[in-house]
Amino acid sequence: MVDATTLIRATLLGLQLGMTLALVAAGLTLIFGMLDVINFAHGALYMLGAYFGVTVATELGSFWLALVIAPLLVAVVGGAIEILSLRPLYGRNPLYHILLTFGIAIMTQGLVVEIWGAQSLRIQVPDALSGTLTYGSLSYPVYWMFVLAVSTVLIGAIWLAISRSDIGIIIRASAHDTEMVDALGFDVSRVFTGVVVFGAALAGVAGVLLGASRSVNPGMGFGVIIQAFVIVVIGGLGSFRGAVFSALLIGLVTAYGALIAPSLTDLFMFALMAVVLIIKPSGLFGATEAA
Amino acid sequence: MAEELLSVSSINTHYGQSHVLFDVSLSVDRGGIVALVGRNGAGKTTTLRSIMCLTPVTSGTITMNDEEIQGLQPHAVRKRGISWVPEGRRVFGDLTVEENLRLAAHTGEGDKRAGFEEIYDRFPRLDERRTQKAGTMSGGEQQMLAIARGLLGPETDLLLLDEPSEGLAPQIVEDVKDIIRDLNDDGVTILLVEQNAEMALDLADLAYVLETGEVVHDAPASELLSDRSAMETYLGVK
Repeated sequence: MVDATTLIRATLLGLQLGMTLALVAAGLTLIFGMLDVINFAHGALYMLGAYFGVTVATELGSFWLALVIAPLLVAVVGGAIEILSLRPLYGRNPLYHILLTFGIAIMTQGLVVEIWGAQSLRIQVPDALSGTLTYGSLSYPVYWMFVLAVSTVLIGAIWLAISRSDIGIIIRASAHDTEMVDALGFDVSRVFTGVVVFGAALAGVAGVLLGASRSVNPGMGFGVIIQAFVIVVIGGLGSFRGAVFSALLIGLVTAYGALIAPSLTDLFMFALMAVVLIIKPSGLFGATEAA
Repeated sequence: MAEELLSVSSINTHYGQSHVLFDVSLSVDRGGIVALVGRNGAGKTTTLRSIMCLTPVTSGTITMNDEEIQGLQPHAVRKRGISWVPEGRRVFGDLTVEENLRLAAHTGEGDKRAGFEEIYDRFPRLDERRTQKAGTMSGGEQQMLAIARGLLGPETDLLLLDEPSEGLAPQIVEDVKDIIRDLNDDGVTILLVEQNAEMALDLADLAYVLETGEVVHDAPASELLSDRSAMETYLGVK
């Protein structure tokens, strides 16, 4: 059977995977909640974060600068996507947004191959974060702990902001009834841009963080978007809490699943989604009354 | 002659291909209560939505304080002193009472605290339920919250009330009537849409009757209320 060390290691891995996926899923679910847009380009933003990270880290020689600058650049791209392409289509059939964002994702991928090439790249982990933590028979890379810590702090901060701040109230209210928020005097189009920019930045952070522990390649955007969608659906479309909770769930299921049957981890993920959808079609934290 | 606050002049409104409002004109004087009555589907809600620019008009003009507002965004209409309390109340059910009010107050200027305390004084039931989720409150309480929310934020000169008595017990309807009267006494002009014509006409000074998207009758509210044949023809009230 599985020993305690392996179990602890899998748990840490699962939490790390969950928290980084939460960074991607948070933006996806907030954008859906407010704009009613299923943003297929969200994975491309995550990928851009990693590639911008590669370039900044190489050019400026600093992982830390990459961690700050790359997400800001992704945020600018996100803002441009919202203002230039999503905005003219609000209020139309959601199919338009799916086609549009899917197209943006494919174009971004093509552009990435054109600029950075098709080969795998990697962001250099700084010396301070390289090495391995050892505790008894457990050894775990320092950088992975760092990724867990950064993403946990970020998600925690957003959680607090959404549940306490005025901005959080606007976001939750808009997820429920955008028209009413508009009628109360909020320029919701500015809130929309803000949410896309913010969601893009978070995806960018995840891209940089994982770009240093996994490979940076043109397929990473489509890889992550599937997982992020499953998470958002399980958590309940539009629910931030749901996305975080279900990201952790998927992270742990994937990590534990890998101990049992490594080749079937995707199956576990989709099985979990199927079970949740059968029992509670609106997702774990989904609104029971339609907004 | 009373000062005209809102003027709706020959507006036409479509939902996609279907023509909903035909040449609707009405006028609301500052300080008054105007009722807009008519059968289900007559276009009452659409009229309010058009004034709020939620469903933009396709032609005609709407002026508030002599300024044209048709074609603005709803949030800009709100900033010009018009506040909308929608049919079905549409409070944010997952938010607490206090959060619902904080949201509305957020767009206003100056000291928000003062506005809050005034609202809680006016609606003691909301004061008791500050931390309760709005969605778990009774219909009457949600209606009070929806009205309170409409008063916070930018100064409210004109309140558009859509079916405030809908689904409420007769006793609660009386409470809502008292609130509307009090607000009006305090200087808020009211445009009231009601299925419950008797309730609306009892409150209002002036009434417009809508039928399939057209204004078919207007009269002082008390006159209409005592005009048995008009009540029966237009509103089906016997």
